[in-house]
Amino acid sequence: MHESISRRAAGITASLLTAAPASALACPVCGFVGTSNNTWAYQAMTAMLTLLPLAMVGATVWWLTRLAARADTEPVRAPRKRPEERRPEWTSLPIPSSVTRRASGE
Amino acid sequence: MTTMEQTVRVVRAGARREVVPSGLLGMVIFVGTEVMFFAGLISAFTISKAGAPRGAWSLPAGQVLPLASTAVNTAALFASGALVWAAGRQYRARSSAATQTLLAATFLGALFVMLQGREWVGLIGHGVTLRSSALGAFFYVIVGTHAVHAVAALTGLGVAWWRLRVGRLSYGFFVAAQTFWYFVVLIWPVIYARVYF
Repeated sequence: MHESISRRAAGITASLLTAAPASALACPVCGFVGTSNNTWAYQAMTAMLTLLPLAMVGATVWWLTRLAARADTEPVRAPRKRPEERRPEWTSLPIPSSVTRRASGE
Repeated sequence: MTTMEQTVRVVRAGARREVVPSGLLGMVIFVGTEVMFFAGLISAFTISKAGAPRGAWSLPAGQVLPLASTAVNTAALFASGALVWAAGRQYRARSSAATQTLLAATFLGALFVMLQGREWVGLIGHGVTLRSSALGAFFYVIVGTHAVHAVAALTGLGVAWWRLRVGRLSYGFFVAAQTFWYFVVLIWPVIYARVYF
């Protein structure tokens, strides 16, 4: 049912485009039409702006897939301690004697 | 909690593994959007240049863009990128030399921005402004946007250097700052080749 409707819609669209070719070719980047100096610029920039995001998304997905596959083959390491379970770094710093004296009530 | 529930929780906790640092993934996505932003600017520049009448695509009073001095600035930027790469290797090897290398890279990056600023002052002095011509407008918008990104990336490198110096630099932050700087370095030759020539 859906297939026949979409086929009919595609047929009607193609017929309309054939009946009105000027409207179909009004876009300066559609096909190799027009002889202006900047036609090539429109076409090249359209190609760039179309392919660049696809290439970037594809490269990111490929990179993440590769990293995930590599992580699957690596042995599982022991889980890291949570930050609050770690000893704070400042406690390793020397504490002034005046502070320790005050704390002990001297 | 039943034993079964406890077992499921333990298994789930063990299954959750970080494939890539979140900071790096976020930066990669951000850099992707920035690449498209610059692609849009370069696209507009290319189409406007191709459609401009003969002789109309120039700067006022016969001025030309400073090709040679910008080549020197470009060399400083590339050297900075190479030093950031070297600092990354040293950081992974836990070498203390990473601090000096990162500082030198930040200095070279700042030098690039300062030299670009000096060129701008010279051009403005010769009457090349945003409103003087279409080329002038595109030049300031594209190169200025790159300079803003360079300053932001330098701030990230500076923060990374400071954290490395005090021993609080996380791997995620470092690679994110590194990635942003690589973007600034690698997008520049495209801008230089397209706008200056």
